[in-house]
Amino acid sequence: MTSGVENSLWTRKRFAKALALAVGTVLGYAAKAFPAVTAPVPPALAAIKRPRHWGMVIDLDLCTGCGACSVACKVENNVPMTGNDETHQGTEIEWMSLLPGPGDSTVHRRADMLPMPCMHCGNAPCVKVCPVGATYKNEEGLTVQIWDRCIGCRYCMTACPYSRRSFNWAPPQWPDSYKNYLNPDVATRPKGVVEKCTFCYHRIRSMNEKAKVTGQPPGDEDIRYLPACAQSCPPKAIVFGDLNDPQSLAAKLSKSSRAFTLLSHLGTEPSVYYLSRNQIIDEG
Amino acid sequence: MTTANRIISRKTFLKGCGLTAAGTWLSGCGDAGDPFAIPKPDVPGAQGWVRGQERIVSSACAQCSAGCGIRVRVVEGRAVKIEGDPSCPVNRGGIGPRGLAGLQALYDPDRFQQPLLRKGPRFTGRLEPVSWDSAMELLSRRLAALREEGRSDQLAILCGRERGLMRELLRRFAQVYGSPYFFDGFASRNGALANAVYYMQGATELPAYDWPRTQYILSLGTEVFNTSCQMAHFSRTSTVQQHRAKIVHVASSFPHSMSHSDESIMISPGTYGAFALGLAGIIVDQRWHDVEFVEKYGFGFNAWKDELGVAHAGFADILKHYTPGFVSELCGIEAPLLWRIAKEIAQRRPAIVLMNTQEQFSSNGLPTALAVHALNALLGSMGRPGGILRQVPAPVHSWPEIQLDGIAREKLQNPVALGGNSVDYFFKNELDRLPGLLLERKQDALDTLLLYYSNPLYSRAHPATWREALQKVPFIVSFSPFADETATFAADLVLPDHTYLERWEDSAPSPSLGFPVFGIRQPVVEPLYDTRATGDVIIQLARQWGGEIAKNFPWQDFKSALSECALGLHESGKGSIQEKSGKKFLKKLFATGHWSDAPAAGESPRFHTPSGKFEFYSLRLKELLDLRGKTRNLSPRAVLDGWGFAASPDAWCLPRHEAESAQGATDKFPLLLHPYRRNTYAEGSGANLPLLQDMAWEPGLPRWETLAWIHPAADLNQGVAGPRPVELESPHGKIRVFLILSEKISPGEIVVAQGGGHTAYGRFAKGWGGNVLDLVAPDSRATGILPIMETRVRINGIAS
Repeated sequence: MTSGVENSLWTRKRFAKALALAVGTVLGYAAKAFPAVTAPVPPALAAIKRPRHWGMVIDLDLCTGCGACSVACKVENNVPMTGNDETHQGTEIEWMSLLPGPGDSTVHRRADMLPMPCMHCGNAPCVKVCPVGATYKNEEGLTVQIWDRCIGCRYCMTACPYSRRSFNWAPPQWPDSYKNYLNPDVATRPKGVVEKCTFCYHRIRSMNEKAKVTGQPPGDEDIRYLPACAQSCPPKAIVFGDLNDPQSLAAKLSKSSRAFTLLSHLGTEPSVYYLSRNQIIDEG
Repeated sequence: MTTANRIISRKTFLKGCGLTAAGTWLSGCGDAGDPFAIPKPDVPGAQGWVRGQERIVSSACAQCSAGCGIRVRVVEGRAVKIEGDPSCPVNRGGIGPRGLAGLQALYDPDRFQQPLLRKGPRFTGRLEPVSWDSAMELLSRRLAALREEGRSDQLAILCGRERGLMRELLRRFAQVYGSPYFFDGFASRNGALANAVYYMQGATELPAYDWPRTQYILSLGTEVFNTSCQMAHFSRTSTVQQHRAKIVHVASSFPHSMSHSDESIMISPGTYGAFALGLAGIIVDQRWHDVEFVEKYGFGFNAWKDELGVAHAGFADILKHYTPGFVSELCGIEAPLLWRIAKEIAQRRPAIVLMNTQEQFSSNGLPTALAVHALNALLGSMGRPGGILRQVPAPVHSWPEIQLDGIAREKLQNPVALGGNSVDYFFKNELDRLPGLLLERKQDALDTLLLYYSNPLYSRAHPATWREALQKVPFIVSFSPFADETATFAADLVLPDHTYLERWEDSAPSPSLGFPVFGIRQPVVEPLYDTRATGDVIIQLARQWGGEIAKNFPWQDFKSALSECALGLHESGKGSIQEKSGKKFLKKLFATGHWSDAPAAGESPRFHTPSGKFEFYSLRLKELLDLRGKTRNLSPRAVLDGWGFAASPDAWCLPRHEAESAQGATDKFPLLLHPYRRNTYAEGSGANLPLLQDMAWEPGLPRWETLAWIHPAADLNQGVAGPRPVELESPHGKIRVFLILSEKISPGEIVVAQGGGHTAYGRFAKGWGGNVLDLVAPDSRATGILPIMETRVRINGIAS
């Protein structure tokens, strides 16, 4: 018991040391990479006073349902292939799905497809049920998940009213040559782990790193199309941003008269807003 | 920092810390000790990269014919992501699913990795590796011998949907060698519309559309955001300008819920021409049309007399038959609806009327295209901002003029007749006539066939006929990088090309943008395998032979041939790249990946027709008819009977509606087949990309299946309730499809998705679904147009 505590203390100490070392090396490397920076400028992030709240606005009046967001997401985040067999068992993994919209069966209108990433709920049901704290809300409003900590109980999948979580029933597999294109910035998830959309957190983080080095906090224009889905979307229907920044496009759009959230009566407080001229799907 | 701490586990994080010296945060995931690490295989050229080093390379997409600019992220010598290029005016940073999936083409595990030579007979024999030197010698000797024997016209080249300089290089090679048989796959796709534009306007290129400025789009069968050629361009421009035209989508069936139109109108199959003429009739009757345009630039609108004093009907006479009552009954709609659309489109100008590529594949394809184009003219859209523009070509240099030697000159003038009894349209669908012609001939008509981006054993009508026809060609060479059906089963020699992410090439976007664009494709990674760019192979082949042939190919490789053309852009002094020297210009061009210029705005319409006007009554079609009558000593009526047209000679030269002549008896085959292309299809070449097959049509519907939709009422007659796998049969073949009931489908029609049913083309393409083209009649008969849309089928019952 004692040795355990000691052990963990020792680890923490070592961890802190390693952390300091890591920050040092990153800054050192970055200083080399960006010679224009004369000295490390710590106040860069301090300039942002309130915590950010990442959110997304999807304009269904613009969405054409082409499927680019879904494919972009899979390539960016090393989402394993579905393949022929898994389909029939309904075990496919998809972070960004295109669900059919509310259009009736005979008349076609715009907004007939519903791109659905994780809603990153403010009051996330999945977080409440996770027995090991593998999934939690971070200070920027994201529902994040530590892949390695997940024990695969799938309570979160049951809890999620939007079915935005997928389980790895098998180890992720690619033919050897496909492994070449895996994104080095994103860890692959092992068998027995639940996975979901991260709002391309690795991109947010690398943006933050850059801001730390250059001393320039990222502007809304740098953020709007940051996630892979928003970046690829041909009609620019997906806008990403800080909902706490009243000047951001995402925040403005989320207050539009066309804006609504999915299953709002459940009180999940989603961070993903939809826009549509037709007042639709509120009651699920 | 705490954030970083939490998102990855402590263990991984510590490892990560140790590796941050290498400069990346998460490269710890690739550490050898990590049980979840996915080690990447070695790739050529990776040695030259430092750990964590990355580059962004600009290039152009080749996954469909739109020509979007792309930026490829390359890390440690491996391409890891394709993104849209925000600076490219074609797509402005947007990119479709096919473009995003391009890395699966580059890293296709079943790609050809070296030249291969067939051992044993076709269809059963195996392809065995051979060196480039001996493969090139084999081909070079064969072609040289063929030419010496005076049989140079027994070489044929099939070129796929490629446009741009590779097509020109192959065409040049065929000519210099002395063969007239260069088959252009692009022309065979848009034949009807291209012909309509040529016969009415005198233009030899497909029209462009002023997407950003139009007010109204009437789309006849085309899902503008899905199956049209410029999905990304249209989506981005209309959004960027915060302006949306009203889109009305008229179709016989709506299999996909992504038509994204403001209004959808279901009409009877094959009546698009009648619908357009019904609108035209109302518009003319109410004098809502552009009277000034018609009077100033129109020919044959009213009845006219030729120089002999013979009276001819005009377009207005034809329109009298297409009363709202007649048209609405034919199309199966209500007359007031037709009135409303006519009024809307006349009021909300500039307007564009579009025609679907697929609809051109029916015997009434040309009349329908003429009707659609005539409606555009009535609305005054020709050459107007927001209307239909002339596609301005990029001002590239042309290569030195072709110098033919004696053999080539003689053979080009007197080729072995591969001709047949069909209409000699301006754009001829020669490619689809080839199997019929080969089978007709007892002697070997062709000796050697070169296939460039062509896979007729899958992607042309009735592959079984092609299979039989190809047996009559002694030597087939495929340049395909992928193990497609024709290369796998029929090719005697495979000289694999690089994929589009490994080679130098220009990218010529499909016409429809209006402004000139010249895109550059360049190697984003080092070629993975022992493959060679086909452009280089052709140039090397020609240079080996010396003499007149070599003189026509004065370049070291295809990149220099490409650069020579591109310098024309520099010398024009126009466009997005301005540099002092040619060298600097090329450097900038290769760095940005594209050159573009503004559209030709405010041009007054010019028509290169015999009358110099926009011809509602096409004088060139009349010429065609008269010439045939003169050479065969027949009356125009007899000529038309011979070709199989019921229309009167005057009506034949005018826009009109013609009933489709469906193949197969109605009682035995009650359903009309409607092959459907999704945005991921592209001639079946997307089937080897699992990312695209993983995309669901709709949740709950099976992926990796050939889906087919029928109306629930139609199912009652069939006695098969969907969704379930069934067997479809036509007079020409059988396939297995997965049947779904949907009220969005015209009763009497069955919509079948294209793209399944591969028998080769790699592990992901092979073995699922059925190929719709197996059901389609193999010949294009006299009308010169492949009747893909006129096949009748029946459901045989539940398949296992």
